[in-house]
Amino acid sequence: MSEHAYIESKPKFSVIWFVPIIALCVTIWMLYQHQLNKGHTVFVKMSNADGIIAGKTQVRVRSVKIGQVESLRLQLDQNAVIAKVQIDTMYEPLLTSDAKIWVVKPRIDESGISGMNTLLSGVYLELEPGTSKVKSSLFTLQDEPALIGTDIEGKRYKLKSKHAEVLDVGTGIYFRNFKIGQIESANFNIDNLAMEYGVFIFSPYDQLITNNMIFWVASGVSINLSTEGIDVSTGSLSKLIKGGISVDYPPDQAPSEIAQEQVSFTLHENFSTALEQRFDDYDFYLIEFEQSIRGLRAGAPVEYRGMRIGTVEQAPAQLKRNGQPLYFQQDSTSIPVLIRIEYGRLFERSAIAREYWQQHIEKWIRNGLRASLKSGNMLTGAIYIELDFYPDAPDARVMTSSLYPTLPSVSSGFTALSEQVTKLLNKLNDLPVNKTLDQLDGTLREYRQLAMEMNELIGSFNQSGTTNKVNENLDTIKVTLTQLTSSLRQFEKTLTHYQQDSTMVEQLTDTLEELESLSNTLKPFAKGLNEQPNMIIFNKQTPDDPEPRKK
Amino acid sequence: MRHLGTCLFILLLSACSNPTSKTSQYYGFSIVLPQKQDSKAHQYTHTLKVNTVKMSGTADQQGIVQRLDNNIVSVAQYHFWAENPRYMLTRSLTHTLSGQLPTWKVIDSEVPATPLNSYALSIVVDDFAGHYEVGSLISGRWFVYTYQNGSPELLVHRRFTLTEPLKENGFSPLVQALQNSWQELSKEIASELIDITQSQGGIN
Repeated sequence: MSEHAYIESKPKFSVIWFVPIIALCVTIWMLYQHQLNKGHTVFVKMSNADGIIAGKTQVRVRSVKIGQVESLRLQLDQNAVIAKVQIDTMYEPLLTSDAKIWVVKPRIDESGISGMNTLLSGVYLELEPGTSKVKSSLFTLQDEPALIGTDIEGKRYKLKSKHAEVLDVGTGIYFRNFKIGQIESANFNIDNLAMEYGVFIFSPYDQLITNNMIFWVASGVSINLSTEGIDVSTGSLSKLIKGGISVDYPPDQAPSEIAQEQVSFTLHENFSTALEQRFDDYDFYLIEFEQSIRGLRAGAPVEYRGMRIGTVEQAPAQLKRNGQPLYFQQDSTSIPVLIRIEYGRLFERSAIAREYWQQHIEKWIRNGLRASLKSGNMLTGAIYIELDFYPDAPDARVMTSSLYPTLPSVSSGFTALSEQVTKLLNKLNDLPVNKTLDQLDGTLREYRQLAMEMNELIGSFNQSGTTNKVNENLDTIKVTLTQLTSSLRQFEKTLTHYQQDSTMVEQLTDTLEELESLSNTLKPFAKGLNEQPNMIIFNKQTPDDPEPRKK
Repeated sequence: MRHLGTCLFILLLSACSNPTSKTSQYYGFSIVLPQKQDSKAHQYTHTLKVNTVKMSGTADQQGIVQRLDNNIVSVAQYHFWAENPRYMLTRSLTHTLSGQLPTWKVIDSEVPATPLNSYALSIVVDDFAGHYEVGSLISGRWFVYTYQNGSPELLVHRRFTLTEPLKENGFSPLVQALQNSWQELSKEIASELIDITQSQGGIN
């Protein structure tokens, strides 16, 4: 029998290796799941992390939690705080590069009080997704909540202002006191030294914005002083506090075509300025005054018999020719004033008005049309330019030798006034003063007689016993006073009686007696308690009372 | 071991309980039943207003007071007056005076208004106690004054000390002795009042 070892070839791969392989797979799968569940990590840069707590502060979209602040790290070189935020995987599409993130905390603004619920729950980050296709993982925290959501329809316009006060972002835009939009951005342009506002007009009110719209700053209160009295009107409370921008069509004008988005409008200081500055079809004229123009300022009206036709542009005119002021080169001693004749004021279709003016101005001057200075306000001394016909004026015509056509003027103001005063003094001289004085003397004599008669009358009154009647009345008053005193005494007596035996006093006495009785009852108990503090729980352990003894 | 535990438990329970618990006793003057009164109205000659008796010093106690040897004052821990002694004494006094002075209208201080031209009686009790030598002890002062023309005028001022030996040992005999003394005082006051009115010729 031959015996030889049976050599079984060892399998190259042992089954036992499946165990670590499966363990490895499970680990990898778990790690993958963990990473998957962990969500997307984004970073939010903020100037300070006031109220934000790592591991607690949530990120929400429309108040639905989409993630949480994981950690906060100080970025010293940028003076900032970087918050690491985990966003749930399913909400990853919201993280567009134009998404906005801000802190929701209690705020008080013109729209009211918001974020009060965060007083107890703590602040949270609100994310407003954008429309961009590009994804981002680094966001900057905004100081203020996004005013206009991306889903709100409307149009954006620009407003430029050189004079108006600076308005806050969020200030409302009102069309006939109804809010139709708000300021979205406010920047000061240092190139043209003007405030530039970006405004958003909500749909469907954007249909109201036409190219001929006028915008002006509406203060909360408007006071209108006219011959009919004072009219004070105020808008809504928020408008009163923060002011606002009013927008409307110019008076007597129909809306023109609807304005395109991003069209720029001018923001005027107030309604009247807005109305004045829209006359953009004008011509410059010079007027030379041979008198003082003190009180005449740029912006003063130019009127024709009370109807406004233009505005003073420069007083005096700062025009230069050949590097020298215009008035250096004149032979006369007059002061030039630059005015605008605004054709839009003559007729709403300014082209027709311009044609009419230019055709007739020469003729009018020949017929005596002259400019003169008139006092507009006695208090401030402000004056304006009035055009009128003076048939007696010396002949003149429109001078065109200067930069602009020059209109002739007549002297007015003090010169004219002095003439009038002389006339007045002459009239006064002619007045019959002596006769009037004689009449006055006669009247005084009559008054004197009247006074003497009055004196007699009063004397007769005294004799007819008026004094006695007064005395009688005094006696009656005395009696009444005595009665009053006695009544008061009785009242006092009644009061004393009442106080002694009143129900209240009785009840008080009863209560006191009851209290006294209670205190008497409690006395032995208190004494026992003093001797044996545990008397309430255990029996009284004090010794027996000594028995009274018969002698 | 188990027996020892049971014994300890029973001992614990017995420690908490006290089989010889003492009970408090309450005392008061015996009530004299009202006598049959005439239905017809009395013709009163005088009015006496009895003010509530004032208890001062050691007399003002709810427990019964005893003056013992060596100047010891004992206030009872288990023997009490059923009500404050001042009310008991005032009631007893009014009752006795009404009996002693049939022509007097005796009213108490509860009557709201003081009638004009009336007498008033005030008593201050300093001692109302048992005494280790004399049995019962009542001492104090009493005053009688009139309300003439609305203002009070003092007529009599007396000091009194009344004692009475006890008939038996115990608190009940002490209370009885005190009651007797008090009635005696009431009678003395009544006779004094009669003397005053006679000497004054009466106030109507």
